Amino acid sequence: MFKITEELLFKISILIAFAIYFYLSLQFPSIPMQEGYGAGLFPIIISISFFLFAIKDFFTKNKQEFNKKENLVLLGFLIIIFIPMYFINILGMYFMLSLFLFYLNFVLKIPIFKNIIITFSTIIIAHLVFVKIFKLSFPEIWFVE
Amino acid sequence: MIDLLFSNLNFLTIALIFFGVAFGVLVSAIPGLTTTIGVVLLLPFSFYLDSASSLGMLMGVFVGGMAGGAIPAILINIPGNPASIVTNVNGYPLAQSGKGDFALGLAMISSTLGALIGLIILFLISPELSDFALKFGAVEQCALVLLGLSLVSALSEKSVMKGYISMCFGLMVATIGLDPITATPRYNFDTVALQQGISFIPVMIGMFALPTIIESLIISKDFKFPSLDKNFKQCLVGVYDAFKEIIKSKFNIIRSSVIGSIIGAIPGTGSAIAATLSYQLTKKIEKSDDNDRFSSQGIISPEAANSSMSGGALIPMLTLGIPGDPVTAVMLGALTIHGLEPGPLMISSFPEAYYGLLGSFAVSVLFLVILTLIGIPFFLKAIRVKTKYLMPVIFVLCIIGSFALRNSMLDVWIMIIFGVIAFYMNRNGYPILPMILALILGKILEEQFRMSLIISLGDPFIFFKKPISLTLLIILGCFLSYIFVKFIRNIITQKKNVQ
Repeated sequence: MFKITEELLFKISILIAFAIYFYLSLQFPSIPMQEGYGAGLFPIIISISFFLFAIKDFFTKNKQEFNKKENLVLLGFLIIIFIPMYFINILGMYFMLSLFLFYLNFVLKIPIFKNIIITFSTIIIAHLVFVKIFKLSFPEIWFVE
Repeated sequence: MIDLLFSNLNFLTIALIFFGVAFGVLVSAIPGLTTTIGVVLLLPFSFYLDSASSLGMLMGVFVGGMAGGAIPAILINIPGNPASIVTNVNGYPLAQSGKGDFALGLAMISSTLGALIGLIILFLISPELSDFALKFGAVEQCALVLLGLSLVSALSEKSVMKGYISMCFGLMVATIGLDPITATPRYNFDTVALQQGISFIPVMIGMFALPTIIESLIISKDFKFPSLDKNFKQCLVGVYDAFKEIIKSKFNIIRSSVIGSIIGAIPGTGSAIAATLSYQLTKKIEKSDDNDRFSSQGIISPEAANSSMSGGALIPMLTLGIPGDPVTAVMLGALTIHGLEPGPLMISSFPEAYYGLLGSFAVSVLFLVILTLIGIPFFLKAIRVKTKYLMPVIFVLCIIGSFALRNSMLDVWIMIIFGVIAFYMNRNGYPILPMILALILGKILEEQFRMSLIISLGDPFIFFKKPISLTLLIILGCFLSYIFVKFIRNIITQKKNVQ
């Protein structure tokens, strides 16, 4: 009986990735054609090798225990990052970056006053370096329009 | 040839090389940050600089980074990067006994000399190897890439199996986009954005930098550097004493540097192996009863080896197009950004870029000498900055760097997704380097593999019919057999232990 560990879940996700990849690779031709073998040959070879290694690895002993707290921190990080990124066209790059900076400084327990100073100074430097000097065009912020 | 070495050097390039060396020393001296992160952070600037300046800057970081890792190893007993994994064994006790400046002087000067010897070896060997590699056709290139990937996968971490899984994952990602022969769209889920494939630059930024940021959120660690309690002049006296000791240890420097360069030229080995091997050899050879004398040799040997490794690691990258370690993988990315294709044709097709890169290496070594002589006290002050203040800024640079590639938010998404994957790969013992290398070399491998089959009219035995590819495959076979035998032996030993 397998004990649910983080490593086991990771190995299962590797096998799921393999299954999806293998299924999709069967959609492409792999038989000999006029221009050599089809586009599916190489992915099928990778799938077979991947499966052999993954199945051997699956039955090795799992060490990494499931750490609920650490995974929750990561989940929180991803939620905070992904939601503003999804709405980048409404929020604009500067607002999104400020939000990330403020959040990360907060999690890293930087005092609020220092946090605000670091956030603003980083955004100003990023603007001067990347937009003014290197002419990079960020997604525009809604209230500038 | 000599005029080509320095033909690209202008004021901006020289200034950027100096900045690169100083940045490299600093980044690798701050615990938690590595030379790879330093190179990855500066990579996006490559889009806006000319090839000579951007490659010079990255070369500076590479050379400086190998030397800087010794600072925390000596002062707080924590190696700044894997390259300094054994420097602390002898360096830290010396620093504890009040000879920190002397130990740092030894490390920095031997790093400089090691890098210089590595450069000479690179300069002598790479044109010869490149000439030989010109004989490589599709069949030979396919065998070579396969051998390179196998070496990297098997040597990078403890578990060979996990290394190969990581490599297969990289190859899987490399097949996303248009197929290189028939231009059939694959795994793009009917989206235009994925038709171009996944660029390895945001993947590299995410996989090398993001796990460090996530780890800092989970475990907040700060390191306290001790004060040397010496003024600038006293520090210089320590560096001068180190210089005198180095002159006495010339054979150790040469031996360790040659070992470092050879190890560096083998893909997948890396600076930690170079440093450890040369340290072990020095331990066997130098049977000195004088503890202080051995302490010095124990610092000189790994530092000379890890810095000369940078020259060695550039040999397969420049002549065969196979990067041997994470930093050269990022540098390969920088070369491709500027339309330069590393490989057998690099010297003949882009002589200015090739010799310019060697010239930048030489200038970096020169700046490392200057920084070594006058910079140690300044670096000791600069590295006291707390890492928690740097992480959010690094994250912002990662986002902007990924976005700058194509002005596309898709690359930012890719950077974050692969960063999270790398975080879990790290935690579960799956090495990242084979995945990155497979992603970079996957397209070449597939293209050459299928070209070989077209040439042979579908006969897969063509790989055994050409002498060079047969030799490469025999080397691969011997290597895999060795790993298999080792694996079986381990199982037998484990069973015996249980009984």
